Amino acid sequence: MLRPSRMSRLFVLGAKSRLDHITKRLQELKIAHIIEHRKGEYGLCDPLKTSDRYSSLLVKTRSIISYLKVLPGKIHKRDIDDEILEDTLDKIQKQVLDALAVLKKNSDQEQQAKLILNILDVMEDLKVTPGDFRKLERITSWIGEVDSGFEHHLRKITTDYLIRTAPSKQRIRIALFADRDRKDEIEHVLLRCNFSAFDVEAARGMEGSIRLLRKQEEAKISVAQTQMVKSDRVLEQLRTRHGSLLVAIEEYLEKKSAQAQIPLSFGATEETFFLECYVPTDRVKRLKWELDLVAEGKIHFKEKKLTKDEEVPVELNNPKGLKSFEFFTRLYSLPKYDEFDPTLLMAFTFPLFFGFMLGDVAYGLITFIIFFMLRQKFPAGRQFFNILITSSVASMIFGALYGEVLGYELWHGLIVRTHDVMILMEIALVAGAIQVNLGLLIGCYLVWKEHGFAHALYEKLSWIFIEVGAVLLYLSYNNYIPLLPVAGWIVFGIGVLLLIKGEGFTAIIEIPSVFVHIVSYARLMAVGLASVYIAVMVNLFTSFLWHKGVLFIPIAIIALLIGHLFNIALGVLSPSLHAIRLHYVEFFTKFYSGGGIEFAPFGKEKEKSII
Amino acid sequence: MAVETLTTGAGLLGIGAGLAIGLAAIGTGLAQQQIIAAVLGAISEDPKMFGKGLFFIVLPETLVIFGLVIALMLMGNIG
Repeated sequence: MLRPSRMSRLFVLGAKSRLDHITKRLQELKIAHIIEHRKGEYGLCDPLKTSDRYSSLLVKTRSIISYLKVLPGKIHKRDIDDEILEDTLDKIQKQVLDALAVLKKNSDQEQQAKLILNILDVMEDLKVTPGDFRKLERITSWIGEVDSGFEHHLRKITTDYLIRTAPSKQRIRIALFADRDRKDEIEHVLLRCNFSAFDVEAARGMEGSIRLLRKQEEAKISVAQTQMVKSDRVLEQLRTRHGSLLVAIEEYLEKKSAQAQIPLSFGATEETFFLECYVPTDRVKRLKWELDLVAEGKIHFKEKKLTKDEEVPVELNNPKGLKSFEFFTRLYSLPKYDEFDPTLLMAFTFPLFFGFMLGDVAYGLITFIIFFMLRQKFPAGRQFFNILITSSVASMIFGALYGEVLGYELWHGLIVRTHDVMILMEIALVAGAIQVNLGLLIGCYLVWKEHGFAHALYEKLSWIFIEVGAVLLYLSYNNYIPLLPVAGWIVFGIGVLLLIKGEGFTAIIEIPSVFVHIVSYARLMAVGLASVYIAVMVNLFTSFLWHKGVLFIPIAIIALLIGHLFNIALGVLSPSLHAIRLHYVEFFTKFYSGGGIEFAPFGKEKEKSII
Repeated sequence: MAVETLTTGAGLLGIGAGLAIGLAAIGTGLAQQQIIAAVLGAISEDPKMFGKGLFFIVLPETLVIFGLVIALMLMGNIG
């Protein structure tokens, strides 16, 4: 529970002739985290012979899936017939590519016709036709836009031209026809007037009136669009018919391909292969037994001792009810193999803090129902919603203690939040002192085990001395206890000296941090107060409207609903974030560094999470 | 009338309490402004950063909580 699963490092040596069966079984068992073999004295093992086939089939399947735009989703398990995979995929691919080719052809035609329509618009504007732009021996032509004043410049070099103009925003559209001999000079003027040509190539060679040509092109567009709709329908049909089969094939091929390629992580000699893996200690026996069975005895195992510097993969090991809270541990960082797994503690304190902040029977009930429904709707976020459901229950319990329902004090609770602010703050600070010191004690235990008692004393226990010293000073200066302040100073001083010995002189500036961390727990009171005051304000406003007259009653109801929904939204977000923060910043920093690598047994797909 | 019974000292304490929470809130706002900008950038790059980003946004709220604690302590002295 408080530690990740114990791991064993296993060396496996087997006959290459049984490689196929062994990799298959390894994949099914999902308990071996394979350590990649580095090329050295022994080379790498070759992948299985089927590797190329499965890889290329996988690429093909993925390309069809991407063409068909099949969305990933839950599918029913199907049996895949390996032998006819090629035929099946080829057949689907051909149908898809045919439909896509028709789609592309018609889409190109539509684009071309739209382009011509644009050109025709410009020509109509300038009162010319495509026929005017056919290639002539003596005449050259331009069509485009120029800056104003172009004709003035043109007239300076020649008057022998024909021009049609039309205004276009800040510039002028022109169709210009002139003698081919003067082409260079005219182009020089055009350049000076920032001529930008329209591309009329698509319409060149067309004959007839603009109206007629436009009708032709519009007819082409309509035909192309009808064809495109048809192709889309064909693709849609293909998607519904083959979509789930394709996803199933992809999954099957991914699995097969992974199995065929895993030997690349093994080492090999001519006749044998060998691999190293981490296996949870309690499952070593099973792995050995299962592999021995499929290898027909041609296999040998050796357990290796774990070394201190080794990065052993981490498998969190918590009871089923607490698994959901592993979400928070992962969000921060997985513990290292030798580290303490804080999931259990968080599973206890997170709902406690959440409930303390959002203590209201009605709010708890509403959030409970909302998160319960969300959990059904989004199974991927199950872990997260489980945490929030537990927290909602805590919220109801605290609500009962406070006597609060929707911000109204329906019965006299143990604590009345709007009056007993200082009591709330004291409770929050005591909770802070307990959690911070618990963190220090866990840290102390871990350092003690790792580096000896002296280190634990300097690094962790020194803080507790400082805290005790400060408390003694407070109590003695205020005459709460019959003790001279000097005693407090001595304990405080010992703590500071120990800290300096452990962490150096610069640690002095860190001394307030432990108190700051404890005071930081005052947020438990502050966030709760904010929530309860918003609720009270909403209620006051509602009752003000309610008593104004019958006409205001509907407005009062709406105000009540919106106000409380807003407060619930805020009330879920703020307490959960602040509760997480108290754990990550104030608690974890005392004993936890994280950075462990996840235990990823061969054959296990990566888990999906919602955040 | 409650106002008449207040002394100057109590009034100053009240102003102090207001300043404690007000200035702390400004500090939190300044810090959050930059964090939120960075977090939004991160989220637009990778929407999975939403959860972590949200967590970073609330980090500076400690300041305003300290402000509130001081304000409450000052207000306690008025009574």
